[in-house]
Amino acid sequence: MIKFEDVTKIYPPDTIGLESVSLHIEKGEFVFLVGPSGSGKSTFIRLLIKELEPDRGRIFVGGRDLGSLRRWKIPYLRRNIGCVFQDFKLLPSKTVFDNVLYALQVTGNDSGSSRRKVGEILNLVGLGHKMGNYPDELSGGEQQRVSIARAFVNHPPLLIADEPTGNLDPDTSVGIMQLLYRINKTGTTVIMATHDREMVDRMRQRVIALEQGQVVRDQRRGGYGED
Amino acid sequence: MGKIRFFFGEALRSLWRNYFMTVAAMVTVFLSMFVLGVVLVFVYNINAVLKDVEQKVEITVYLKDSVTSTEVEALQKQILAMPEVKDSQFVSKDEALKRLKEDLKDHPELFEGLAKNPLPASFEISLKDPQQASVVAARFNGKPMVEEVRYGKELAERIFRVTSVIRNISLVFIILLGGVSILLISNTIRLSIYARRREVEIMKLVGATNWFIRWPFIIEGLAVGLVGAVLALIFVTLGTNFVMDRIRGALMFLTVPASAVSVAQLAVILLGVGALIGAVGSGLGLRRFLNV
Repeated sequence: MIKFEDVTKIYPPDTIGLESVSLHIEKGEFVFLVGPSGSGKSTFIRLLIKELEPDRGRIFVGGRDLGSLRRWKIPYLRRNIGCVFQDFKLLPSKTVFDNVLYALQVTGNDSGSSRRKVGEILNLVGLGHKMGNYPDELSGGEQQRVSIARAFVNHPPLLIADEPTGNLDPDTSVGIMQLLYRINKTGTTVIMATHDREMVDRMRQRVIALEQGQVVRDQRRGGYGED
Repeated sequence: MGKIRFFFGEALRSLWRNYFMTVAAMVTVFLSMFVLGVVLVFVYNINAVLKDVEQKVEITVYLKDSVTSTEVEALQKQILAMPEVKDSQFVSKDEALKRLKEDLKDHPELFEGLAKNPLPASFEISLKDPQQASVVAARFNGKPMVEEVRYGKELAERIFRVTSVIRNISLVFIILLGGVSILLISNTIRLSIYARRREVEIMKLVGATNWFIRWPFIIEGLAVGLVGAVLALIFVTLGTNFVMDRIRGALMFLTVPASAVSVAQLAVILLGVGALIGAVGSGLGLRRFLNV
């Protein structure tokens, strides 16, 4: 599903984002990406959606080499990768319903069936009763569920979450985690960058630990710290 | 089809939601197009007055007393056949004297001792393009029945010099003004897009193509440009009608043409420029934020 071959990213003048990272993530895996701030988690994610270009090495997503992907094809790549961010990134001018629908509209789908899909997924994340609200009328946890709904409404093969629980209280975080876990169970590969030690320890999934841009640990069924 | 409706819906919604920016941009377009419109009307009218002045340049061909009426008729035909000539009028000796008497009717004593009519007969020739006066006049030199050719050479040349300077100045002025309008409007639009750069970033992350993001912005710009220009058109038309009435009342001797520039002409220019600047300005203003 995802392959990094000796990937290095350096931010000018000499800040290391990632250094010689090689790894392989299979289809359907659930992967935690852990490490302190500045360890390269966000760089990893931004490279995956081709928001950044590596300085060295090659990245494959779904068998496709991102380095040879033309600029105008980037939107089509991103439609196959659902993204969830710490700051939700919802469009403030659109209702909850329209925010999720937008992800379908960009693919040219604006039919009755896509509207039905939006309704279904919002019910699934427990926001069926708030479809007509605007993002700023929702709590942080609710906004994050909207953004997960938006990321998943296309049923992308890959879902990336960058600190999705970073702004949320522990109880709300558990709800978000369960949602991501259920999404993973439908066969979608999930990569989640996080600081949340407790969560990682409880889930017992694959953990990739980064430090100063390097992979220092890659462990099946791991915990947050060394063990 | 559904896409087009979606783009228009998006554009309208965001115009409504960002009404402050919408109004600011519309006012900018309105002011720029208003000034441009006023200058255009002004220049058109000056041009019309200049044309009128130029039309007054005529050629007068004085004939020898010995000419016969058949010769006059032949010459008249010859003159009217020249491509540059708009009209030619024969003024007989008697006619000339009558005109002179009319002009000097306060001094009848001047004509008392007059034994015979000293005035020559003449042709008064008006031209399609007055600038051709010297060329046409030269053709009459040396003809046996022609006494003298006059076309107010010095005056004509001075008029043409002045009018061409005025025309060039107004052209430069319009071009400068057009440039300033474009800068001003596209800057305002860029500002309003800057306020929404996060939205653009999110759209890109969700997988929207650049054109999918761009169309609503272009439609917005088009709408703002059109509304601003329509307002400008209304004000310019009302304003010039008002001012022209005053000028005509005050300066009777200037034959200001009734409508040197038609409302339709003005509408095409102002609406065209307004809509174009709006659409292109927001299309270009978006460019920096699309590189995510």
